[in-house]
Amino acid sequence: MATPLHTVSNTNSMGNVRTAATVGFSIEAGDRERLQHLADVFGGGNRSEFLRKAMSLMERVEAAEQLGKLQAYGQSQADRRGLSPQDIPRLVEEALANPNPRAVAEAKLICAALRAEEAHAEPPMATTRELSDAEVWLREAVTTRPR
Amino acid sequence: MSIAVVVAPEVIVAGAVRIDADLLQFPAVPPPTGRSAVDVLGTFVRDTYGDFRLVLSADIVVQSIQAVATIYDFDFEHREQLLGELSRLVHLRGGVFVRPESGIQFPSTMDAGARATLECAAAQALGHPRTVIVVTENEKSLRGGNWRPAGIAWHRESHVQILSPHEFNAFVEEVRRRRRP
Repeated sequence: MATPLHTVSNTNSMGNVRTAATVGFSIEAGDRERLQHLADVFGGGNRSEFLRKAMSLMERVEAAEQLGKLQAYGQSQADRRGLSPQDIPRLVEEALANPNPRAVAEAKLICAALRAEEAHAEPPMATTRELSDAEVWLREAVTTRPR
Repeated sequence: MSIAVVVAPEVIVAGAVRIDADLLQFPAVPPPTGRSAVDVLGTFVRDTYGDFRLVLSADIVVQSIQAVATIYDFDFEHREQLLGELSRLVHLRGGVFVRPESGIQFPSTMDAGARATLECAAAQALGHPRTVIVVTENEKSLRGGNWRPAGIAWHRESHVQILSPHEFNAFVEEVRRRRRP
């Protein structure tokens, strides 16, 4: 397990405090060249930047694997009940229109912590703000799509 | 800045099922499957450029979990897992769980799933002006196309575009083609 060696705090140009922790880990001597190559290619020569990108990628891999396992279970359940994808919108509408009280109670129990999370959700953007160039383009693209 | 995407319960429920899902092996990320609801969820794993972030409310998740219990007979453990995977998809791309907007006036014919979805898209926490995509298979909602909430204050530059899963996936591909270096 990696041990934090020290923590560095500083302030960026936006006034936000950044906190970086230095962690130590070991690699084989023969892997140093491989690591530096990958850092050059994916992190502009910066190993910390490479590690950030590698972590993001591995998080996506984990998400794909876990979602896949859940979907495999879902497929087995759908097969047992003889359901096809075309049935689902109608079945969901029926299930929500005539809810099974136990299913509702258990779903609320499972999601209890979400109420607190949504109540404390920070706005991901300022209440009044300028649209970024990318968002303007995406908005125009989506709103002018032929339907 | 990425576009907020609200996914309706019927799309989440349909996306919780996937043929050959267990064939997915490291280091693969889910490829397009041709099953539109599955590919909608896959977008939040694949999205290379971070153009889309998943936004949900507790109401949408509760409805989705209730529906997988009723329709597929998911056991408790897998219902909890569905919450975990949805939370992961939300946080993976900088999305958020929001408190739904409660003051919207809906037609009396609007069903519970569509209400929860649109209330989430109108949430205060998303700020203004906003661009939100709602992905739904609900035909009553799909008639809306470009939706504006009634009964609440709404910024004239804010946009909620309603797309079917198929339309959303086509749009994602279009964005990807435009963004590819």
